[in-house]
Amino acid sequence: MLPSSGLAWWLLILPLLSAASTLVYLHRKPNMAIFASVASASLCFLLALGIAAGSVGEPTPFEWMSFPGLQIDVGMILDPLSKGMLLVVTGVGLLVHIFSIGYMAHDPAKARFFGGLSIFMFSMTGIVIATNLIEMFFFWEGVGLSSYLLIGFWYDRESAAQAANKAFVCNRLADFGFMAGILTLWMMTGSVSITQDALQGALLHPSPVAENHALATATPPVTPASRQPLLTNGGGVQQFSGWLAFVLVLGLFAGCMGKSAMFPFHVWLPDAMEGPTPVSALIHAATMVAAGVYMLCRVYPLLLLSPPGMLFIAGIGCFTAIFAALIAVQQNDIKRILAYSTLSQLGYMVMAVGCRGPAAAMFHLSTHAFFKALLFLAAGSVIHALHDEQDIWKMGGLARKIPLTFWTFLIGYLALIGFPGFAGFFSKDVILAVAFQAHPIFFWVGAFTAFLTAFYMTRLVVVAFFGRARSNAAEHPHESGAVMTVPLIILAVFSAVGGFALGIEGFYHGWSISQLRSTGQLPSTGATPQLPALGLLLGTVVPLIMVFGGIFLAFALYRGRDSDPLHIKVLANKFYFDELYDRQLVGGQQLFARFLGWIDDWVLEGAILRGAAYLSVGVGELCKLIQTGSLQTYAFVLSIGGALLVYFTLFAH
Amino acid sequence: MLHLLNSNLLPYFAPELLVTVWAMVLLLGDAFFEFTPRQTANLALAGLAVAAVETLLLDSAPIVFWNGMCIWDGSAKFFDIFFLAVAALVIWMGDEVQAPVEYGGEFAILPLFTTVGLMLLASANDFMLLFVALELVTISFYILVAYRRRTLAALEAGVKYLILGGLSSAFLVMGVAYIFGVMGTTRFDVLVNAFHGGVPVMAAFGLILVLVGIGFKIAMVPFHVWAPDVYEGAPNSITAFLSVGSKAGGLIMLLRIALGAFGGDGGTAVWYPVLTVGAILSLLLGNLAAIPQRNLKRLLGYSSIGHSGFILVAVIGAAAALPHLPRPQMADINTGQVAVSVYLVTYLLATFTCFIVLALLRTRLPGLEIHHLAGLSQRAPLLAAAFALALISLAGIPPLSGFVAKALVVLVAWNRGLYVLLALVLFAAVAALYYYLGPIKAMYWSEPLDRTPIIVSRPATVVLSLLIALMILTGFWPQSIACLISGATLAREGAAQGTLTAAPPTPSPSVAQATP
Repeated sequence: MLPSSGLAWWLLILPLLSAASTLVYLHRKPNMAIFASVASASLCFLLALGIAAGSVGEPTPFEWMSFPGLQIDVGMILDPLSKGMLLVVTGVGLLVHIFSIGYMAHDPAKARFFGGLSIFMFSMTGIVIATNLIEMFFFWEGVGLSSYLLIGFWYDRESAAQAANKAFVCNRLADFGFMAGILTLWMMTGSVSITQDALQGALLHPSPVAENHALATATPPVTPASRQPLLTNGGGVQQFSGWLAFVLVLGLFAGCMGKSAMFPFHVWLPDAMEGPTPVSALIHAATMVAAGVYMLCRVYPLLLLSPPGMLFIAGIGCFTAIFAALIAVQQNDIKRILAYSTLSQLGYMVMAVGCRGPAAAMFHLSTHAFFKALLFLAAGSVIHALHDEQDIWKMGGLARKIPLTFWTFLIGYLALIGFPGFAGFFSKDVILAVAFQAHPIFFWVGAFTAFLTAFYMTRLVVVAFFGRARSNAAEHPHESGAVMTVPLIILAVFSAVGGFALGIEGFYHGWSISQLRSTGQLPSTGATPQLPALGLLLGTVVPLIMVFGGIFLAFALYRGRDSDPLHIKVLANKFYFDELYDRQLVGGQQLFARFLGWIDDWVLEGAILRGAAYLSVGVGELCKLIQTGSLQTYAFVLSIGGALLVYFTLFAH
Repeated sequence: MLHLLNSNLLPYFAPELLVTVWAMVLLLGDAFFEFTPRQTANLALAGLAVAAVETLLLDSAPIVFWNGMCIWDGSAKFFDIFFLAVAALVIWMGDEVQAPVEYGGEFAILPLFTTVGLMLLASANDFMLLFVALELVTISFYILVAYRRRTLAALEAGVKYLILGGLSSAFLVMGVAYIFGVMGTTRFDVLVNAFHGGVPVMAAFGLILVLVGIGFKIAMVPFHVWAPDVYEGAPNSITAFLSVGSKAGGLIMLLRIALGAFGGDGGTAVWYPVLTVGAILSLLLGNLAAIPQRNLKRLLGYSSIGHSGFILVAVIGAAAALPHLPRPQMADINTGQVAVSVYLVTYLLATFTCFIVLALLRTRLPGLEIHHLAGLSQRAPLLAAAFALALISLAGIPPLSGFVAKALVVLVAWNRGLYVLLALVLFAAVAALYYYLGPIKAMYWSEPLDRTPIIVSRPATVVLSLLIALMILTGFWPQSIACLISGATLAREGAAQGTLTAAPPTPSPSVAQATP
C-alpha cells in the first residue's frame, strides 16, 4: 500500500480550476483559456502516469455525509481498472485538446469550447475514481452536462440544439433507472460504496440493514425456487432474493444503456455528431460513452448476483452490435458511419460484460479508445480539409492529396475491422472467445458483425479516399497543420501496437481475477479459469474469414463507383427508429398526450390542483372561521384545542 | 451569586451573564451617553461575538449545576450558539436593513434580553428556571412585536401576541403546578427517574398542558392561530426572530421535557399521540393554507407552521421508545436529534435570507404581495437570486441545504417505522413546492412594472452572499453542518441507564452531578 497523499486530488482540481476560470472570466481571452485547459489536461496526464507507475497513491477519503444508516465518503479508487481507464481518459483527452487548438482555431467561441472540455475532463476523471455510486452519479451527471453543452456548442444551428436536447433527455430517462439501481443497492446492503472492500463486505457478510430492517420483511418469503444458489462458483456468497438482484442489475444497467447508447436508447448518439468533431472523438467515441461499460466492470461482482440480468446485458449488447452495424452499411455522412460503428463496438463491450468477460470488455474499451479517437480526429482532419464537407460521396481521391490524414485513417480502419496484427484484432478475438463460452449465438452474431464492420468501413475508405474527386472541395483539399497531425500520428502508433505491445490484456485479466477472488466469486486458490481452446481458435479464425470477406465484398461493390449501388431503404432509414419515435410524438404520443391532457384537465387540474385549490380555499375558509382576526376566537381555538388533546389522550380509551 | 463567581462552574454560565450585563450597560449607555442607534447596535453585536467565542470554547461534557437548576450538555451548547447567531442577525437587520430613523437604540438592546432568556431555556433543567426564562423571552417579544406602535397592524399584532401568549403561559404554569403537585419535584433529571410503572394521570394532564404552552411557541396546530397575524404585523427582523429564535426556543424546551423529563416509556406514551396529532395537523394546515396566500409575510408565516410539522416528526423520531413500535438502536435516536439540529440550521439560513430580502424591499416596493415581486430579477438580481434560493431551500430541493434537512427527516421517519408521518411529510413537501415556486415565477418570468434598479448596500450584499454561500455549501457538503453540531445531543438519563437495546456507538456519558 502506498502512502496516501493528497497529490491525486489535483486530477480533479486542475480541470475544475480551468473550467471555472474559463467560464467566469477567461471567456473573452480565448488564448488564455486554451492555455489553461491544455495545461490542466497535460498535468492530469502526467499525474495519471505517476499514478499508473505507482508513485502517486490513493488520497485519504474524506467524510462527505455521515448519518446513521447513510455514510458516504468521497475518496479515490486507484486500482488497476481505474489506473488503466485514467491513462486512456487523460491520454486521449490530452491529444484531443491539442488537436482542438488547430481544429477550433477560427471559431469565435473557442474559449467556451475549451471550458466545456475542462468540465468534461473533471467529470470523466471523477467517474473513473469514484469510490461510491453517489459520487459516481454526481460526476455521471457532470459528463451529461458537458456532453449537452458541447453537442449544442453551435447552438444557433437548429439541429445542434435539437441533438443536444435529445441526448440530454435520453440520458435523463436512463439515469432514473440508474438512480433506482443505486437505491436498490443501498436498501439491500446499506451502503453505496463500490470499493473492492465494500463489495466484498456486502457480498460476503450479511448486512445490518438487510437483517434488522423492515425492508427485509418487505421482500416476499423465500420460495424454494429462489433458494437455489444464485452463483454457481460462489461458495458463501450472500444470497439476495432473485428478483431484487434482477432489479438491481437492471437499474445499474439502465444507467449504462443511457450513457453507452445501448438499444433502445441508441438514438441520441448519431445525432450527437452535430457537435464539433474533437468532441465526437473524445466524448462520443473514446471515453464518455465507454463510461457505461466501465461502470458495469466496476460493479461486476454485483451483476453476477443475477444470471438473468447478465443474460439481458449480453443480449442487449449483442443486439446493439449487429443492429448498429447494419445501419452503418447505408449511411453516407462520414461522422455518422463512425457513430454507428461506435454503437456497434460498444455493443461488443457490453456483450462481453454480459458474457462474463469484463477483462475482455476493458481491453476492447482501451484499444477502441485509441482507434476510434484516431478515426474521428482523422475524419475531422478530412472535414477540415474539405471545408466542412461530411458526405463521403462528395469526397473521393483524397488518399494522394492529404496523405498523412489518409495513412493515419487507414491504420485506424485496420484496427477497427480487426485486421491481423492491429489493436482491434486482439481485443475483438478475446470478446468473441468469451461470447463463444457463454453461448454460440452471441459468438456467431458477433462474428457476423465483424463481417459487417469490415464491409462498411472498407466502403467508407474506398469511396472517400480512392476513385476520383466528386466535388470542388475534394479537388483542392489542404493538409492540416502539425498541431492536428501529430496527435493523429501518436494515436496511430497506439492503434497499431496497442493490441499486443502494451500488455493491456494481461493487465485487465489480472485485475478481473483478483476482483472476483476478493468478493468470493472465484475460489481463492487453484488455477485461473482459461478460455477454451476451441473458443480462442474459432474466435481467431472465423472473424478472419469474415473480415477478409467483408473487405473483398466492399471492394468489389464500391471500387470506382460514384454513387451507391446498394439501396436498402430500411437500413438507410436506420430501421425507422427516429420515425418511430417521431411518430410516437405525432401519433402514439398524440394519443398519449391526449390521455395526459385528460389527466391534466381532470385529475391534475381538476382533482388535485382545483381540488387542492378548493381544499386550500376550504382550509382557508376554515382558517377564516378561525383566523377571523378576532382575539376571542383565537383564544377559544387555542383553549378548545388543549381541551380536546387532554380528552383524547387521557380519557378516550 | 458570589459563590458562583468563585466556582469553576462560572464558565458554563458566563455567556448568559455576559449578555445580561452587557444589555444593562447598553441600556444605561443609551440613556446617559446618547449613543446613536448604530453605535448601540454595533456594541451589542460585539457583546454577542464575545459571548459566542466564550461558548465555543466550552466543552460539551454533560454537567448539572446550581442545585440542579441548570444543565450543560451538547444540546445546550448548540442552542446557545444558535441563539447568539440569530440575535446577531436580528440586531444587524434592525440596524442596517430597516430604516434606522424609525428605531431607537433599544431596538438593538431588547433582543439581547430575549437571547438571554432563550439561552437559559436551552440549559434549563427545572420547570422553575424554564418558566422564568420563558417569560423573559415572551415579555421582551411583546415589546418588539408592537415596536412600530404608530401603525395599526403592529399594535394589533402586539395585543394578540400579548393576550394569547399570556394564555399559553397560563396553560404551561398550570401544567407545571399539576406535575409538581403529583410528583413533588420540578427537576427534569429527578422526574425521569420518578415514574415507576407509568405516569400518574394528573401528571400526564400537567404534561399535556405544558405541551399546549410549548405548542404555542413553536406554532404547532391548533396553537398556531397567532402566527399569521403577528408575522404580518411585526417588523421584518422581529418576524424572523419569532420564526427562528422563538421556534428553536420552544423546540429545546420540547426536547428537554419530552425526551428528558418525560423520556421514559410512560412519559412517551403520553406525549407521543399529542405530538403526532400536532405534527400531522401542522404539516397539512401549514402547507395547504399557505397556497392561497398572496402576502409574502403571511405565506412565510404559514410555511413556518408547516416547518414545525417537519421538525416535530424528527423530534418524535428521537424518542427512546415509541409505543407499539420496535425499540430503536442508539444510532437511530441520535439521527432524530441530528435531524432537529440540521433542520434548524438550514431553516435559519433560508428564513433569514427571506426576511432580509423582504426588509430590503419593504420601502422600495409598493407592497409585499407576490405580484409586487414581478420582474425583480431584472431590477435587483442579487435580491431575486437570494430570495429564490432561500425558497428553493425551504422547499427542500437539492442541492440546497433544505434538502439535506428534509432528507434527514424522511430518513428518521423511515428508520423508526413512522410510515403515516412519512407519507404526510412527502405529501407536504410536494404541496409546499406549489407555493414556494409562485414568488420565483413572479421574480423571473414576469415583466416588471417599474424598471428602476434597486440598489443594495454593500453590507447587505455581503451578508446575503454569505448566507447564499452557506446554503449552497451545506447543501453540497452536509457534513459541514454535522461537524458544527457534533455532540449536540441531550444528556439523557434513559440513554445512560442502558434501557436501550443496542450499545451506543459513542457511549453517552452519564450526567455528572456537580455539587456547588
